[in-house]
Amino acid sequence: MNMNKNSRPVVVTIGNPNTGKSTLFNALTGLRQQVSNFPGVTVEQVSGTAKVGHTEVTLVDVPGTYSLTAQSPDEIIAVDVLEGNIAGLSRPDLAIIVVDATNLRRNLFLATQVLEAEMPVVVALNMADRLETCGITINVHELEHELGVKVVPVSAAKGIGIDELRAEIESSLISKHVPSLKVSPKIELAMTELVSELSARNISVNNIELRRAFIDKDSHADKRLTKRYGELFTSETLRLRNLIGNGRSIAAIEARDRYSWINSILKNIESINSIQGPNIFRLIDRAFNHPLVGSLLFILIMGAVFQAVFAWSGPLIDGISDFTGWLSERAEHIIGPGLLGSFVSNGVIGGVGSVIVFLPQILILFAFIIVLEDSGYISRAAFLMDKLMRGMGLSGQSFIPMLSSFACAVPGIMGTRIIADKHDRLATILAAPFMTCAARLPIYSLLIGAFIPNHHIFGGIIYLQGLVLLGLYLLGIIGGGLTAWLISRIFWNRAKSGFLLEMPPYRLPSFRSVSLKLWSRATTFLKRAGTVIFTISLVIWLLASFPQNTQDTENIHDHTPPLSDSYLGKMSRTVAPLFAPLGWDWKVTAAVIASFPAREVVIAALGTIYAVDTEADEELITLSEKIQAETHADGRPVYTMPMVLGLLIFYALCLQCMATVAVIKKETGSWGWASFSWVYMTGLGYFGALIIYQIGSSNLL
Amino acid sequence: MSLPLSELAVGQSGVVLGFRYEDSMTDRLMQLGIIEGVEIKVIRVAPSGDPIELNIAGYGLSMRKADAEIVLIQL
Repeated sequence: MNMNKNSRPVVVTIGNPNTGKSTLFNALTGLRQQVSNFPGVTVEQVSGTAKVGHTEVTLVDVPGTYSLTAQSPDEIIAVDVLEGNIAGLSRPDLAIIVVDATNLRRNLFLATQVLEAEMPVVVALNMADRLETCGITINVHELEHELGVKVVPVSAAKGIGIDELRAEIESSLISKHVPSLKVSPKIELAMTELVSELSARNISVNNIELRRAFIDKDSHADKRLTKRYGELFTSETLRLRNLIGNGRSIAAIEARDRYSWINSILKNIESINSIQGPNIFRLIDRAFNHPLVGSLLFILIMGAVFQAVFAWSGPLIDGISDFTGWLSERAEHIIGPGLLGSFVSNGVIGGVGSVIVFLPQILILFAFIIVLEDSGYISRAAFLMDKLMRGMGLSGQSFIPMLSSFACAVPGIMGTRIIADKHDRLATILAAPFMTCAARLPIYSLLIGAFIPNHHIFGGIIYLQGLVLLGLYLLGIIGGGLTAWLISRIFWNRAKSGFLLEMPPYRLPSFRSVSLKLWSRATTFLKRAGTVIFTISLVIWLLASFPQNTQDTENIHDHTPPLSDSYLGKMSRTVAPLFAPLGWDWKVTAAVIASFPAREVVIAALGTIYAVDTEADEELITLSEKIQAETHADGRPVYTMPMVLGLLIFYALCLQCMATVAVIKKETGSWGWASFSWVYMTGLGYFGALIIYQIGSSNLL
Repeated sequence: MSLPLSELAVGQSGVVLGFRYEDSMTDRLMQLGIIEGVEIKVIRVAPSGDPIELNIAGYGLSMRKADAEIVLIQL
């Protein structure tokens, strides 16, 4: 085998969801993994490097799937990797099929499909350590004999059997032994005929792709081959489907044939002893699923997640912004006040800072979600929330993406890939950015702190400031809910849903597995959101720093123009009349425009605008005090109550976030939905602010 | 006696007889192991009355009643 990096063997890990597939992937690669973006693919692929014996292999993890009949975007990716249909990634040299030993019957369904992919295969019998507790015994030799490939019992979470697995991967890569298992005689008959018909016309198609195209009518593979070969392919498959199907779908024939084969072999392989000892997890299960106790625990857990995301992250966020502020000051001091100093301190450090300031909330939220996923609770949450989410035109599976969006819509929208129904998925994607994300909090706390009186109401139990914040959260939830409901009305939802969700047994998450997953997701997020936010921060810095003022004789080092003369200032003055009905002057407009790429930038922009402003009173220090004192040219205060409430509503509803727009484009595959989303949300924000300001001002004045 | 899966009570179990009709949804159900001859038990119903949680020959799966209606069960 070649040790050259570019010709490393490609190995794919494939399996059902909830089989510990990612845990096994992490056990094989450790931290040597990265998220790659292959051209033409809407989803990233996690790949890593694993050492097997003396060979380095590229290990590719595909999303979990129950069948090669791909429906959700996640499943389509899994099949595309197996078929070798990903540009920039060669067809795998070997597949590791990850099988949950405690749920052999259903897991073998996908396994037998992959065994027909005409590539070397090793089966990893994961969770083998749980067999005893579950009262199951498996005859591994007999299973190897029936499948015709090596089967290695492993426990990915405990690191048992990993070395044996590596050894089998290495020897299978050398022997290149391809399994010959075929479970459906009817389908094999049709396949033989189809292949010979096509090859008679000099068409040679990768066998697994042709097989899936034939079995799964109207699937991704079927559409691709129809497009490529046209009439010839469609007439041949139609004839053969009618011949063996007799009106039944080929997928149904496949399912029946596979399960009857699986049932026949399992008789000699698996024995289940139904007498099981008391299990702590069964007790937990009973508590969590009690209608009343379970619902209370659900509220408690979600409350704890929120509390942690917001309370624990506070000091960390302050620490990070203090540190980047200090760093940027030091940089400007060391380099000097010129263009370079400003570029490094405001452009680069400011840009990086605006990205990493989100890390505490994102990491805490991700950690909770991973623990909830690994423990099996997430499926229970979706189960409990399904009916409520359905009222908004969504499904239980939309719950987690929506929850994630309270920290950041980017991972929330990426998380919609698990939703098989494309309308549910679209509705979730368009509703997610309404949730109050971390980026909205800086402007909320600035404006609420500066202008909402800190009165106690309802006998001192509730703060008015807190009530306003709660109102803004509710506004986001209602906005998202109504949007999802409207979308589902437009794409009239069928009575049937396709909401099928596995309820895995409760499991204790392992620290190692959780931290490796956290690492993998955090790097994905940084790559996704980081590059966009950073780039746009630089653009805004350029617009605020140019054109350079070379006529300035007072300071030969600093040619940075006053904000009003910069491109940004000029742009704002031009469009300011559009925002005058909202009560905004050109400075507020400039700050809002500057925060077009990312909401949180508005704070830095306001800081720059009022600090740069030469008329500003030197004695006013904090931003909060500065904006309280800000007046129009005629002496009226800029920040009146209606204007402030309008600005809050604007930031609650608008889509001032390039990273989200980019991720919507990526996940829907269309600029159409991305631009719709932006125009729709920002339009709502504008009119919301307009209405509040106009009504409020007419009453007050 | 045969009846739709959606009408089984909590704790009741039965064997899959077939489907009212076959379409892409039933293809999906069959791939997940809901297939003739398999024993299914209703584990619980969500507090709001829907969806339902089932045990399909050893593993847990939840689905909505509207989908469970297609599956015919022999008690």
